Amino acid sequence: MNRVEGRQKDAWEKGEIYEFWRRFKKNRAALIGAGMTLLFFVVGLFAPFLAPYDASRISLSERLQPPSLKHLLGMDELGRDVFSRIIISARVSLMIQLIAVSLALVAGLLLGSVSGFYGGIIDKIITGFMGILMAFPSIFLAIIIIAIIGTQLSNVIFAVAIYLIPQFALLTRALFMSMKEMEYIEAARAAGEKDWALITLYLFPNTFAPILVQTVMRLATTLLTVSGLSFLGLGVQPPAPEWGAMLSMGRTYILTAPHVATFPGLAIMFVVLGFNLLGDGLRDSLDPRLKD
Amino acid sequence: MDRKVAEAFKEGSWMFLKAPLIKGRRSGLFGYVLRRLLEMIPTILGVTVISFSMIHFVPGDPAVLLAGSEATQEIIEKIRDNYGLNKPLVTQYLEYMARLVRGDFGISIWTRKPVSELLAQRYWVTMKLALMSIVIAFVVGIFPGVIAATRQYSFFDYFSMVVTLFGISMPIFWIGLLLMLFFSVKLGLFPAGGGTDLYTLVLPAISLGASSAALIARITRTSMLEVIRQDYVRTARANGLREGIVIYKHALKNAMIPITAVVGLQFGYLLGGTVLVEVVFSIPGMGKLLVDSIFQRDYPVVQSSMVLISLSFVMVILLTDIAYSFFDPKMRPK
Repeated sequence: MNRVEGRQKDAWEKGEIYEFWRRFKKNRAALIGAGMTLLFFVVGLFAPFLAPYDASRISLSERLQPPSLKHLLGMDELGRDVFSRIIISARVSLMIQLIAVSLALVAGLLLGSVSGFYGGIIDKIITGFMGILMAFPSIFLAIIIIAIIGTQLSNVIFAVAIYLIPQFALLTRALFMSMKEMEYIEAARAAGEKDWALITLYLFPNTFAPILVQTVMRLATTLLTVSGLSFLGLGVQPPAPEWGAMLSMGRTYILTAPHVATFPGLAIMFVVLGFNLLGDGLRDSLDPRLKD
Repeated sequence: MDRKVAEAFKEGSWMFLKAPLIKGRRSGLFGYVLRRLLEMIPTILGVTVISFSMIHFVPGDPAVLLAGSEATQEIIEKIRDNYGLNKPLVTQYLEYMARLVRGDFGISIWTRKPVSELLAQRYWVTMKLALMSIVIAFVVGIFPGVIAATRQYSFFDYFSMVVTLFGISMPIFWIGLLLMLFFSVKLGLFPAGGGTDLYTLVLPAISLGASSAALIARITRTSMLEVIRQDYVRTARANGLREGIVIYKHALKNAMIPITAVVGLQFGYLLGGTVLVEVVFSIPGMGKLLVDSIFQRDYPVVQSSMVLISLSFVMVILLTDIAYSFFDPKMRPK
């Protein structure tokens, strides 16, 4: 090893990423959460190859069959393989979650940073708008938007993204407001840095940890929201498989064939739990000050 | 990161949502309430503008939407006239507001009854459900949180934190279905929904309050852990006070401050959750009415229920803020 490589190794060992990884890998709950999340991503990405049967193949003679070796999680009300439908649904959910959260993240970062950095009248207007969005408690906002624009998949994603924006915007705003008075920002400003440089090069990097944790946590609640919407019939529309929609269809047969409604619920819980464990672990490892 | 933000972030990562809402009480209580009421005006205007413009955003002729698809041309024209749909939008909005203030919410397309009549019946059902579940969430959430904090790293601490994590991760409607399957179908202890009496609402309230209880338990634990490390708790112990009194009288009192601060937001979450629970248990509340009306394209009902729900939520936030400013010494006028 030559001297340069040695220095780089030192930097890595003393660096924040190394410190983060050292703490993260000691956190068993976080590793389990990461594993669960990874499994969800893999299943979502490779769903068509992993599903043992065609998720939309109807076989009425086998309808509502309980779990068996042939059909691991049984058959649903139209005689479709529940296991395959749960796997294909992972892909649908993953796609909705990633797109909706990314849209909300970008919009929230923009609004929140402008609002927190400039303050004053701009801040008043932006927080005012966020206040109006937040006046519709939780899932109501998404329901109302879908009631107006309809239940197409892109509309559902849009509605969920709008519902998420205030959560990212207000966090970014709070972070910016607490940091913009700090000395290193004053120093950079005195050195002649422009506003956009202060925002993107000096402030953004320091909001990374809480924003990342928030993003992971929101991926969890987004799944709950989307499946809730689908359960109400306002989200992903049948016959497309989605856990909430499957649950909604299956609940009619909760007495005779409880497996149809039980397994999609378990799938939702598994994924949400994974994201929550991962989010908790990231928070504790990224900033130990946040730990109890 | 600023310590205050860090704290807010730790306490469930959503306390920050409350941050812009919590403001110090510079003047007396009356002045504070007045100021908060004035600050609510833009929000109320925004909500009503959205609800008003909804009918114009939905594709189609507003008059036909308000009259229903089976209405005759005559009725459509009458509605167009009554609602002034030919006038400029600003006039239409002002007239809409005037009707709202008078309590005139229009006529339901589906039932042909006044919307105010429909809402009056269902509003209190939803409020009762939400209140029951927040009480359950509070009672069930506080004690495990306190015990977990006083015995940090014990088996109970780990166990309760795992259970609460599951509580947060389960979809409301699934908890509802499982509770219904177990307690009403298998054991026959509770009715499977359909009614509005307290006994029927027990299972729905539990399924709705479960995740809030879990969250409150986690916040209580964090908040208590911080409080019991402080000097005055040590002093109380050193003075020979019994541990029970130290924890429940002195420590919990201060630990409650961040907990009460989030009640308003939790109430909003529960209010949103009522939609799901009402559909699962077929409870005739606002949420079920809203979802049914969306499918029936009953726009007058959709418009009015969204205004009513959001205004109730804004009022609850205001009330908790006032209570908070009253209890937290830091918020009192100097």
